Amino acid sequence: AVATASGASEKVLQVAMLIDELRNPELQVRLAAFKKVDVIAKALGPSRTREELIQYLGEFLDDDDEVLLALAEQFGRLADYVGGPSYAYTLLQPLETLSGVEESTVREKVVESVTNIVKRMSNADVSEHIVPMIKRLVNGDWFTCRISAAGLFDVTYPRVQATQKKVLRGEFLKLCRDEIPMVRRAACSNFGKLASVVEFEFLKNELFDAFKALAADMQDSVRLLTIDAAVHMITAFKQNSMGRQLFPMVIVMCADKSWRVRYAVADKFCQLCAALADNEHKSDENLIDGFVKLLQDNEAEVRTAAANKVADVAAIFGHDLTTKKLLTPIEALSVDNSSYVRAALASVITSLCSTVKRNIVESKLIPVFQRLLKDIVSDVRLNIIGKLDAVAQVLGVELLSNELLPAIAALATDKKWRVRLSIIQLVPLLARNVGRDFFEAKLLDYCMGWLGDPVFSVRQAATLNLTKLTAVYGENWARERILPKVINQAQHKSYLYRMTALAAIIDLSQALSATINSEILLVSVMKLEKDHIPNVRFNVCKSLGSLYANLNEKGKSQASLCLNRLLLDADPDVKFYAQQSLDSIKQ
Amino acid sequence: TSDKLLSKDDFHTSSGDKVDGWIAKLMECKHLSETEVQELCLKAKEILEKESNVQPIKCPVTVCGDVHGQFHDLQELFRIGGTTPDTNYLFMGDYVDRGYNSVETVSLLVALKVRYKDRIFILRGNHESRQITQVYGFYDECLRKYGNANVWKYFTDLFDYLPLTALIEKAIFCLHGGLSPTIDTLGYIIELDRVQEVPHEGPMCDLLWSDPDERSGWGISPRGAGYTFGMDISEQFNHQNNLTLVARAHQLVMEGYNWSHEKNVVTIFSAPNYCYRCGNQAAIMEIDENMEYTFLQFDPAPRRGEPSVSRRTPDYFL
Amino acid sequence: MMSYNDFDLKFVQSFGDDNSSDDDLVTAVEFDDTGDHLAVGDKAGRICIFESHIDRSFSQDPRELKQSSPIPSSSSSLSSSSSLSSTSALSSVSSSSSSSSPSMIVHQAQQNPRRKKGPYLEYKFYTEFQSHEQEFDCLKSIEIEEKINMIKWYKRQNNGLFLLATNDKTIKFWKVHEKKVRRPSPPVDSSLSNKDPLYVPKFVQQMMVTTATPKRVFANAHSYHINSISLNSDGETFISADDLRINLWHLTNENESFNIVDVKPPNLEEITEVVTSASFHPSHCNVLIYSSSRGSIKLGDLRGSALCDQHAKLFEVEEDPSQKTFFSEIISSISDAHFTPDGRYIMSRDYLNLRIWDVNMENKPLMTIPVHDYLKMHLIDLYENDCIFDKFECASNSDGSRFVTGSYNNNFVIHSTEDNSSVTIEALKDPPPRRPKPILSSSSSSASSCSSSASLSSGKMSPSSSGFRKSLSPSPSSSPLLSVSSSSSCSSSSAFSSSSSSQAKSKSAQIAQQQDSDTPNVSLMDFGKKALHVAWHPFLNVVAVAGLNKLYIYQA
Repeated sequence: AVATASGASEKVLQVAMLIDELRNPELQVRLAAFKKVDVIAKALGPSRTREELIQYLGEFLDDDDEVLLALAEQFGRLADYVGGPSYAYTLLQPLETLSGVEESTVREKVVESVTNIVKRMSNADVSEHIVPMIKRLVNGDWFTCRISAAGLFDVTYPRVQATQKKVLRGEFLKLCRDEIPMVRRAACSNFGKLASVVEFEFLKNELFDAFKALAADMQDSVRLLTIDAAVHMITAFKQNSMGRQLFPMVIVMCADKSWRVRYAVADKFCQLCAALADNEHKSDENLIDGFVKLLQDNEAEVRTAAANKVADVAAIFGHDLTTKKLLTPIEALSVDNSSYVRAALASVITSLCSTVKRNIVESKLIPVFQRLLKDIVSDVRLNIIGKLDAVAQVLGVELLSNELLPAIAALATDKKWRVRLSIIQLVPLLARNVGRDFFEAKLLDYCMGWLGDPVFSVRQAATLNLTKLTAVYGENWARERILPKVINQAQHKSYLYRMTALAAIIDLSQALSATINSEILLVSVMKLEKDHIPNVRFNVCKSLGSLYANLNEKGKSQASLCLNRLLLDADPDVKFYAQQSLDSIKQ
Repeated sequence: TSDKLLSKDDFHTSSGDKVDGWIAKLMECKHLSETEVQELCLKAKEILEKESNVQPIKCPVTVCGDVHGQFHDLQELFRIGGTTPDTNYLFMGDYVDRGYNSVETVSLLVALKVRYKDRIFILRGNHESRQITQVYGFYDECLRKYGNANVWKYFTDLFDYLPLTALIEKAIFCLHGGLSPTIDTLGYIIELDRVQEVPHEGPMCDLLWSDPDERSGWGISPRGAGYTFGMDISEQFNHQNNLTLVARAHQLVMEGYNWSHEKNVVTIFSAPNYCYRCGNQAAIMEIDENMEYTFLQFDPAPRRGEPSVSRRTPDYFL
Repeated sequence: MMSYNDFDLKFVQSFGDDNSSDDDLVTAVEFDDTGDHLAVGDKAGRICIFESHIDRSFSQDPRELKQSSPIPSSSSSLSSSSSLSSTSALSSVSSSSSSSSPSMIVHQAQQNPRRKKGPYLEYKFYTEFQSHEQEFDCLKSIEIEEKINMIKWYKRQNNGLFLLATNDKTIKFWKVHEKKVRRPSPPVDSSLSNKDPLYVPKFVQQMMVTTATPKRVFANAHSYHINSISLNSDGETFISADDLRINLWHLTNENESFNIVDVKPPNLEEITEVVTSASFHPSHCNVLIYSSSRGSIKLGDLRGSALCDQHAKLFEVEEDPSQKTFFSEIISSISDAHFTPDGRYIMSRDYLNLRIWDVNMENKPLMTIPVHDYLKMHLIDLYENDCIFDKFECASNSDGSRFVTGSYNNNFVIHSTEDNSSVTIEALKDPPPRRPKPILSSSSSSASSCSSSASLSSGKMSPSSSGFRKSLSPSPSSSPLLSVSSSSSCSSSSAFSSSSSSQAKSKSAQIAQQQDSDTPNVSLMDFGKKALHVAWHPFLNVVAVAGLNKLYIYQA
């Protein structure tokens, strides 16, 4: 209508279009518009946002899940656009409706948004609007609302007066006793957060019984969520010198009938220990005995979770108890039937060296390392090699080299290329820990050998590895030990390997000086300028483009000339990359 | 500035950037939009219609067999053999059907062809056909992913332009299926009018459908199209056309490649664990600049695209 | 000997057309946990949902009936109830042809004068949608039937209905809900002048449509045909079983599946048994059972270990080697097994028997109820016509005191554990001619529309409309199709206590009772009429029995 729209009215038109797109039949268009609701709200101003937009958006609460998710998020952000904190309550109604949707991701977003709104609200508004809303949700028909409600207590509770606090505690207890397991799960998940804001006397007198009931719930899926709540409860009780009261519960949890609960205990064992930690409990053999049970569990998943925590738990209990209690089960884990258990052990066991004394490491742990290094499953070997820096620090790698080398040799030539790739990725770590002489004598040949691997991805990793090694051992070392071999490979009879050499040169040039780049690398690259395979020639173009910045002046002009010659190549791809490199060096 | 030095039909200009964008998107297994596919197929048609029924190819090149919509395994193939354009490729058909990602697979291969027409060659397989794709999944996948059959139409129209065979350095004859009793010489193939739906019989059909067999002579194919041919046939054909080898795909072979007819014929199959259950290895054949070949075998990529049915407890149960 | 003292199951409704095609074969029947809805799956991949309406003369919520049923009749309420004559109900049925109407057509029981004692449920068509469609498995080059193998309702969580449905390969999680059709009002003034360009539309006149949306599709995880699905009491997970494997899923995750049972031997030729069904315990989230083709039921405990290949309990009937015949293994195969709602018992069905097991007694069933023992003599014929491979289901009432399972000739058996009696009923919608004609009530509202059946003429849904259909079910004010007669002379108490009147009543309600003594004439039985699928209302004595393309609802 208006031929020359001013900047302002153009923006208005854009907003008008956004409003229109909110009801576009195409989901993606609609969704994009819903994600910009704040733009619309800003343009409408607070009162129209409250009176028109919010109501309008409320019409979409049966839309697709993606839209609902976007809406739930937007409502949490609109507080400023409805007129600030004092009007934030106007956003609650649609969120309350959304709290009942079946999609848990949407509900989680609703809780997040309501939480944001509550944080902006005045205490008076919280008690006027949020507490009644929680009551409605808890007592409503649909269990989805009750699940959402469970997430609102901890942010609301500290903001209201004692009478409403009592109401909230009562409502929360209803959720703990709900007939729907999903609701009880939601109560469990939020129990810890609430426990940390509830006054201790109420925690002890009102919530503790509910917690005990949940910890004994018939549904495994509920019980396993009480572990996290237990950590908070123990902390709260300990602060009030009653930590001891919860100790037996932890022991009971360690022996739960359901392996999933025991898994959760194993997984959270360090947090449980940390919460229980005082001098009295640290030395409590019952607690470590509980953990030993988990290490010896019938179910491999539980042993795996426990094995993952061995080092952390050992650090909590210290040398003496670890030596006394944990070493024997650890030895058993190193020959466990399940490779997952062994792999978990292998990934943490080297950290034990910092807890136990050196003589124990030598007499007890080294045999375990040795066993794991020889494991039939490559993941186990890779996991322990990946953590060898810890051992090297304690022992020096020489002690282990007899064991280490055969393991590396086997991995370096493993039939599965991903295993070879994994060991290549560990080489820089090894290089940092084993010392240059050892590395050159034992490992360097593998590094160069990988440049000739039949699998492209292995060759690619091998070139990157050379750069990382240069970072470890320095430029001179690279020039002497690596460059000659790379340059040699640039003359390989197969174009794929010549291109690997070019890739290695590009990688290495970043770590080398302009002089070496110009005098050695550039020369060998330019030797391939007339290669009869176009693929090599256009990789020469790419190499020259990458090298250019790291060349001296003479080198730069040589590279530029070479690229200009390649610009006349018969092959279009060579021309293209010559031009591309020339364009890049001009900038 | 750069434009002056490049011929007009090169895609290495701004439209090249567009194709690069498509390739980047496809590499993430995200399919192109309907209009992008339409544009892609138009560009590809321009290139493919210029290629010969017996497309000459220079070595070095890496020769690949059936892919069948196993997109993640195609990515694995590139991890093994190298990326385009650095490595030259020849694909011998059957990009679509069976697997879960026919759309992404064929889109990627065609996009690579458009972007690097001298670095990658794609032949026609028996599944690059309107009829077969309506039964074996590509059509349904297009409907599912685009809501209509337009993309299927763009691609199947393009398939008519795919070359039928390729000839590496005048020595290795590459095609999807096999030989035909009506074809003695490569010259005869060059004369065929290939721009049509794969016929039910005749030379063009045979090239895409036939299989080598232990029995000598021509035999009736259990597939209902094409023929089986014995060693006598392939020896005679190679001799007459001065060939060292017929390289073809079309058949599942457990090791990924399989010699037959006393090394007159090799079968290459590049879909590992075909149909996500056959347990076969896949292979590609690297032919270097001295015409020496190496087979590289590979296993399926760590899978996505179908639910992982695990015997290990998933997180949701913990 | 059967007892009628407190239990008299009568025909109330049937759905389905006599002339309907093979596509309309009912393949799954399931009540939701409130009994408010009944889902029926068919061979053509459709799911039809019926909604219960309680007789309006009784104000009780159906849930209250659980405690209070049977409810003494009150004459005042009875007299106010309207009723519909059977003829009008049937005539409207005959007017709708099978091809143009949804798969289910409603028939009402003829007005039963005895039916005066209390509230009963009436199911009305709510919606129908296409759940599964025929597919071609490109990986295996086989056709995948769209046939619904099983439906399981998810607990009601908001104003939508949720259910899981499976065919041989793919499980879908459906949401059926009322969706607004948004129609924005036009701007008040369309002239350009001084109108705010930022117009926020308001919506006017909203229409609600019933929509079925597939929330999640759990596909490609089974190599063999899925025979059953079962939701866990934790409300989050479910299992799906095929011939050789059982997978555990999370309802929110279609990308991962946990294979908890695998009975596949390394070499497929060594297979000795297959899994025939699997289901969770109704309240213990860790307990599941799965039945086998060799007649055993294994109980797995997810607490014991992550993988349930090793069963915790094995329920098995010891085989008598002297009785072994060529057919022993076939007829011992268990076609259906699940827990009673209270979780104390397990019911299982093999070809000839219904068995009830105590969860705590593995070595033998509590009772074995022969369903059609007279077929024992005809196994060769049943093998010849493939009937011997039919898979009959079984179900029980809420307290596990009564069980239902099907047979041939559209017969179904109700067994009461209280007095260990069984009754065989032939599911029929029309009264058999030789039965004494029931006394027709005075029908006071013959004009009332025959709700669902009349409203269903909008045709089958095309696949492209993807399960989207406006509910055309009648307004709640329309009178029930079948109502309690006010003219009946019998008091409700006599209806419950008098065996003679029950006897008459049973006839009037088309119940063909099989006495223990009179073995039916097998040669006259219709083996094409198989009452394979049965379901029992979660707390009322309402039984749904599917025979071929018809669904019959019986109620006590």
